[in-house]
Amino acid sequence: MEKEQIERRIEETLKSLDGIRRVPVVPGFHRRVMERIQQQRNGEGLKPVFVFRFAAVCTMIIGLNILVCLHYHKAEKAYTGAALQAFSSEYFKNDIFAY
Amino acid sequence: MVNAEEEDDLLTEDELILKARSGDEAAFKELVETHQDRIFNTAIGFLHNREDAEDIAQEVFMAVHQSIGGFHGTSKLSTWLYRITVTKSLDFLRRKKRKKRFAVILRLGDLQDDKPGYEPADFIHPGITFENQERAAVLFKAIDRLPDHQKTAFTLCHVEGLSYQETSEVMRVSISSVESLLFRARQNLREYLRAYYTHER
Repeated sequence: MEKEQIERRIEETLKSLDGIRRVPVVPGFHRRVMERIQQQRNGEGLKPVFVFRFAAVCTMIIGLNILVCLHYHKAEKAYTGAALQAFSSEYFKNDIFAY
Repeated sequence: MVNAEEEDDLLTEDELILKARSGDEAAFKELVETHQDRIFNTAIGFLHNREDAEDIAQEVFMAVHQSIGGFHGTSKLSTWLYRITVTKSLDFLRRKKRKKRFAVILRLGDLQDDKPGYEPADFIHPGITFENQERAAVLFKAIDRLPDHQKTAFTLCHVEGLSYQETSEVMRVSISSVESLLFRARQNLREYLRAYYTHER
């Protein structure tokens, strides 16, 4: 019985949009559209918020690149120095060293 | 067969488009006034909020003003307008969902003040008869949960009152696809409503 009642309510709900009427827009709609078009024309180009965001992202990318480059050079220098030292010490202490 | 009156209407629409394309502001005004209610109501059907719907309807006509030159008349003007409205409405809903998710994350991190949620209250469609308003609000809540394609087919057919043929043209799918989308939409709605009314008891 309860199930039947629920099914009936479902069908009623699905039919609740029958006979729906169109709602008119608020008067002056065209004027507001034209105002927005005008605003868009005047503010053509980029909004300050977007310029700021774009600049922030660019700065971050450039900064990261510089950091990575500096770190890489440092690491490379350290690596080259240590590697050379290890190589020379290994080379000179070896017994088979002869002219 | 097209009768004389319909032919007249077609010519008028063609002329209107031609004039609007050449930058005639009076023609554009007529175009807006002819289609504004249809676009506004479609947007309401998707967004369930009057202010948002008006905003989207304005954006639709801004897009039309900008790209009327690209409209070649391969479909009816109303079909083109419906298509833009559906795309913009669905985009708006996606943006809203993203914002909501982001707000939830921020709230979890306690980074945002305690502001009221963005979710609008139960939507009462102003074009629905008084006795059906409560049930329709539940139905609109259920429609919100449908996947985009099913939501579009259901809204265009049952809120905007388009035929299957017109809906298929707007959605660029076959009529049988529209039928299948509507069938699945009704199934999903029934499931949601069953859970809703069972839980309500």
